[in-house]
Amino acid sequence: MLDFLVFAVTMIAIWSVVALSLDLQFGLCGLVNFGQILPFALGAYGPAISAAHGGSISAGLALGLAMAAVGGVLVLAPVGRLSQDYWALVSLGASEIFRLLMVNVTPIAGGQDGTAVARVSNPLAALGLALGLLLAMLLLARRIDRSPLGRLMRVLREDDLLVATLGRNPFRVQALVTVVAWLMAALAGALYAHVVGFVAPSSFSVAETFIVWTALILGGAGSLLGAVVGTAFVQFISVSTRFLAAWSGLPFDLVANLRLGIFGVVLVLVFLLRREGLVPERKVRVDAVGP
Amino acid sequence: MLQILLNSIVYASEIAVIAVGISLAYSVVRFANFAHIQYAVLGGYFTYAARGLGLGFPVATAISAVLTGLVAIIVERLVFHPLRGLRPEAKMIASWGVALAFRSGVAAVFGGAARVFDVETDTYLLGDAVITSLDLAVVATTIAAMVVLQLLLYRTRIGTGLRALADNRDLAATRGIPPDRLTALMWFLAGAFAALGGTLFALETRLQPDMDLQILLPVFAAVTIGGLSSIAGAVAGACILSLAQNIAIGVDFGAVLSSRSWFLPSQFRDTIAVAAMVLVLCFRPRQLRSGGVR
Amino acid sequence: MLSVRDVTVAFAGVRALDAVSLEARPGRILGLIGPNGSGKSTLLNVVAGAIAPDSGSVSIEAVPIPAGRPEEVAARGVARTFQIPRLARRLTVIQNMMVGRRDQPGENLLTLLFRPGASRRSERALVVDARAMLARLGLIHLADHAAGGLSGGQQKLLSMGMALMSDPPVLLLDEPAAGVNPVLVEQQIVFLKSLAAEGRTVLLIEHNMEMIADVCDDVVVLDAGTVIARGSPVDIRRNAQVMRSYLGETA
Repeated sequence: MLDFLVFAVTMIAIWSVVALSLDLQFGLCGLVNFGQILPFALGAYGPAISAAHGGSISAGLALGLAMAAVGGVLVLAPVGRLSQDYWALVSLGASEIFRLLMVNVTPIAGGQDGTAVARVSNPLAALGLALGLLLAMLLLARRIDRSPLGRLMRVLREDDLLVATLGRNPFRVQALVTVVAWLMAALAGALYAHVVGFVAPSSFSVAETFIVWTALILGGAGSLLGAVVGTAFVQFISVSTRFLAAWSGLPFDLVANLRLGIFGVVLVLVFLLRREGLVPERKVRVDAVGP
Repeated sequence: MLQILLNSIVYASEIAVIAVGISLAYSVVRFANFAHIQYAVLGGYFTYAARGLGLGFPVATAISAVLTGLVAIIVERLVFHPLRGLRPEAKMIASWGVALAFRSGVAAVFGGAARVFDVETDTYLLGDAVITSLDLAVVATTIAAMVVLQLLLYRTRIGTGLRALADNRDLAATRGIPPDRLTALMWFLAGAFAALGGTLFALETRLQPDMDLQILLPVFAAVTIGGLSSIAGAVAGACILSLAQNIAIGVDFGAVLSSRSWFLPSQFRDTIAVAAMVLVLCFRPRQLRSGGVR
Repeated sequence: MLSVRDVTVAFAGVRALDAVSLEARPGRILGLIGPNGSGKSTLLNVVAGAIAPDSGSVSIEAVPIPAGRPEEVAARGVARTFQIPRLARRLTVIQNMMVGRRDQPGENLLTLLFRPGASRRSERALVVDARAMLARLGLIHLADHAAGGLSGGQQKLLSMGMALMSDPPVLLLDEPAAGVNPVLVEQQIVFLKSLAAEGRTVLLIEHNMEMIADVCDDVVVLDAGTVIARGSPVDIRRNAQVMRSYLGETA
């Protein structure tokens, strides 16, 4: 039981970082990233590619981070010329292109079957790393959130022409947020790879992106704690349904589908009943203005 | 080459029917409805179920279209209508919630196994190319559906009302056109078309809950290439996309570049769809920008 | 000095602006008037860098502005407001005002992370300045209200304040008095005169003739994309052609 709890909290911490990453992009800056699983996948595939070709762990980590930073800017590039619904489709497309490449081009990292990666053998160490990562990322996000940069991002969220009129380059702000957020998600991905010990494309599908979205909307977009709370809830639902499956004897597939369905229903219900989520965005007071 | 062309036409037909529904909806409600793909899958399953009752194909498909149209109206009433004041991004995200719910519902009720429609087809030879009577039926049905839609939109009062609604909702309301009722009708049409397209797609391939992933990218790619709110664009986009995909996997690149045969593996079909969509979006003229205030 | 030379802008074959030239000098307020559709807003957008002209140029102190790049033009010292105010509605009034200032160290991620003191000091000074501006505009009591909750007139004052926070030598104002109650218009007039007194160059689009007469040193009249008259407000009022173009509008 304790082992299981340790693992569950480790996963909550890791996925919370991914939700936090999305929160920076969407909650603070208004970027609708329907391919949020991509930076996570890039972070996981760095180690995978490195392992598949005899590279070291640090090489894998570096590769994952580099791919995420570059990938983020590439995917963001057309955002200035597109309204958010089109750009959302581009981001979705990008995450799917990557997944399909990983599935079909086997020499990269094992294709559909995936690759094994060095595993953190001590679950408590994994937990420690995950919690440490979450804490560090929360502090970073909080620093940005309560700063003039965070304020500017919130203006950008509402009106990018206003930002340009005020003498700032909207794309540069979006690029900065994207790189920071994607690096964040990539770190989570790399940790995930080393905790699970295995990387395969099936873990990085469109469904995963929308589980993160459900976590963020449920928790409250724009509030940092919301990302963590939402992820905890989503993981709880996930785990509960697994227990339900084991207890009721229902087939595994059915339960997996039902879980996805529950997430969908939760997502819709949040919009209908409590749009701001469980932890609403606080009226931001920047440092110097007072506590 | 002829085979590639024929394959393209058939594939384009399947995609176009579904894509048209998305454009139709977008032109009125101004957000991309991701649940639409699930309507298509649902429609395929409804047709299958109706066939299971011993009904002929046209009847089964018609029933499926009506049922799916009604489902679309119900979803509108329960979800999109209450959320109508939200920004389009929010509605898009909510539509994903609906999509996930439907996806799991379909898989839960019908099971994950793939089913095949039992359909007798004859095969014809056109020179080197092969085409089946099923292919012909699919294309014919698509053309008929497009003609009907065209007539509806441009030759009836309801159609004119729908187009007015798409152009400017408030203005249409002041002219005495009932926006809510027309919106419901629009959703019915979108759902019906989705069902038809899903059925055609399932006929040509297989019926399984996974179908949604197979349809999602090509359909949205087609719609984006043609412009989200343009019905004709959706059709054009489907054709362009289909052609691009089939040429990419049909052409012997190896023969061109060296002496050995090499074909792009067909699993890259979706990659091409997405790549085409991304390229078009990146190189489109600036007019797509929403202009700042959301 | 702001100088517009032979600017032409055509949209789908229609000439929104046809070889328009004008000059606006520091310490003076230039009014741009004309019937609806005459090209006033288009001209303002060209000067602000939001639209690139098909021909002609805009220069500030004899240096041409980068066409079609509003953030770079803003960096050159040009601030503008919009006919329908552009604000961050979900932020507070004072937060909006604070965004008006450029070159904030706290907007640079590296400074934020590694030199937090610099960011904090700058913020403290910024709050003081923002409150002073709000007081000057009579909005200080609304400092912590959401900007979206302000009345139209108050939002216009706020945008003017935001524009001023960057201490711009050049100000472009798009119909500041439109839809604003007369008391606030009076406030705007006082404010505008103080801007000119500070040596700024002000270009003002307006339909409110009283404001134009009271505040402008020079007036340029546009009709159908061309300049049909220039002069002082008094000259313009006596100009028959101007009368005809306005009468034509109200007919």
